[in-house]
Amino acid sequence: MSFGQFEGFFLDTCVLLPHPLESIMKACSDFLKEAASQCIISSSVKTEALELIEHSHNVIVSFIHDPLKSYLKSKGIKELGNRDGKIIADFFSEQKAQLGKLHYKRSNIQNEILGAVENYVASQLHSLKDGKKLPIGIFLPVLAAELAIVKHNMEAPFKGGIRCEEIEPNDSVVSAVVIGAIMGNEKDALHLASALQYQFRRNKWVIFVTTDQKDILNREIELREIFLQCSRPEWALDYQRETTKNKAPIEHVQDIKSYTAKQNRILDAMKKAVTT
Amino acid sequence: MISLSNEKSSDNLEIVRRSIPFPQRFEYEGDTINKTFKDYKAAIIETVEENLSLLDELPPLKTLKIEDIKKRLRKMVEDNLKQDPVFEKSIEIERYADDIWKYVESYFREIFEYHDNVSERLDSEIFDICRLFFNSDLPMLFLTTIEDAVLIQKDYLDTYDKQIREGRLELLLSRNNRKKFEKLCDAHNRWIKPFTERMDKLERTRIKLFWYTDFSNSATVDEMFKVKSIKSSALDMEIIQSFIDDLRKQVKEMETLIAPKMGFSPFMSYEKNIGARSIRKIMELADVPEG
Repeated sequence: MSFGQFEGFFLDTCVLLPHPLESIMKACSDFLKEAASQCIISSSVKTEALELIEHSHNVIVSFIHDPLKSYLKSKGIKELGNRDGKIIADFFSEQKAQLGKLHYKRSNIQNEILGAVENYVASQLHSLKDGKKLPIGIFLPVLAAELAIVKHNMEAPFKGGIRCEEIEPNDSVVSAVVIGAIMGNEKDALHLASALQYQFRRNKWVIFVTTDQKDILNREIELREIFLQCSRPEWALDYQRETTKNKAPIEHVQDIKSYTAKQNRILDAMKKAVTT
Repeated sequence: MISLSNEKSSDNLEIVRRSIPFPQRFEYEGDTINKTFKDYKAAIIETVEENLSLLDELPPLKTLKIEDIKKRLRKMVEDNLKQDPVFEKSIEIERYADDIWKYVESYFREIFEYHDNVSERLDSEIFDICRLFFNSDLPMLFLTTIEDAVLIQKDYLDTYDKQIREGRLELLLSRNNRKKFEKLCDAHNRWIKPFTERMDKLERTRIKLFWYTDFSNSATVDEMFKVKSIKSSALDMEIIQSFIDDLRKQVKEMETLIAPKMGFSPFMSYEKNIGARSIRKIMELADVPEG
């Protein structure tokens, strides 16, 4: 019989990214300062994060490269200073108006994306010193160059510094997580299934750390029922202490007298996953 | 590669430069002689004291008084050391070891400064490639692949500096121990070898891609490296794609190699970093399931 078997904290994508709420960002930062060496990211988290960062970066750069540059060219504008905001504002107004006419299925999201690009361009324009005018041929590439470095910094924790485990969760485990915890987001289900499968394969407990209240933490009880502990970063180390008092995962489930339907499903799936 | 930082602000600037003053050289030599003599005297005193302290460890003597022995021994050891070439050599070696400290320290300082300069040049190259991209109809992958290749070079420099900072103290402290010094140098050379080989290859591929794009869009040699319109129709896009694939593969390999040596990078500020804020916002929106 073994106790104190703890493998590590599986991190959700959101824990390693900058967050709009200062309190959440601080919680993640404090947790990582304390426990970075015990943290793990699954290959699914890594792939999702890198794809999303790349995609989002490309959205902004493409927008600056094509419609914005063409617009400025068509208006005969050769240089920009921090007092030329009206030109840029007009451009984004036109873009939004066109978007409204197109009636996209996700027009609100497209609008918000446009807003995020607008915010970036506006801030960069206003950051120019008074009286300084930059040629368009310099200003636009500078925006892109800065964004490349930001993108690289955002990717950094997913590319090194945190241990990454290559895990391909069995389909039956993913299904059992989706059904067991009523997961709406397929990617979240994949991350949780990766952590769960790793836990039983290593026969050591893991804790899934996330700030995603809506899709994951609200299902904490359901996830615990299928043997996966989730936690906000603030409480992750407390959960770890509790977990080390338990027997190892396989012995723990063997001690249970009767399983619920959800537990039966996940254990059947896990048997398949662990033996294949 | 041509970059903003390499552009000269003025040409052929010829002015009278200061020459290195000779007195400084003489002063230096004079100091060295004085220092050598002082070191020599200090070493004799130290060695005499070390010998005398050994007397305290002797069991009580029946015939001689310790004070008499001390007096005599002091003179004997001192005279002997003054005529001993082996002792003199040991002081000389110690002085070299001290100089090694200075040289190795300077060497590291130069390396860090050099890396800072290279890093600035790489930043400038990111700008160059963005400018080329903004004057072109090339695919986004062209831009992001070259950017990644430049940025992984910067990561390598950071990793190298970090490793050197960790290892240099041990190297300096081992300057008197030839075997240990050699071992540390060997260990350094071993870890650096796979990096430098790959990094050279990666840089060559990146520059080949840039050159192929730039030169194919230059009508004359005068247009090479100049800011101009880049048309994909002037390029064989299959060749471009194969360059991109090759470069991406090399960047991935380099990332895998560097990953274990990279420490955890702390968060960038959300509020203050407008780029991070915009990327993050779009990430959230892109993650919303369709429907």
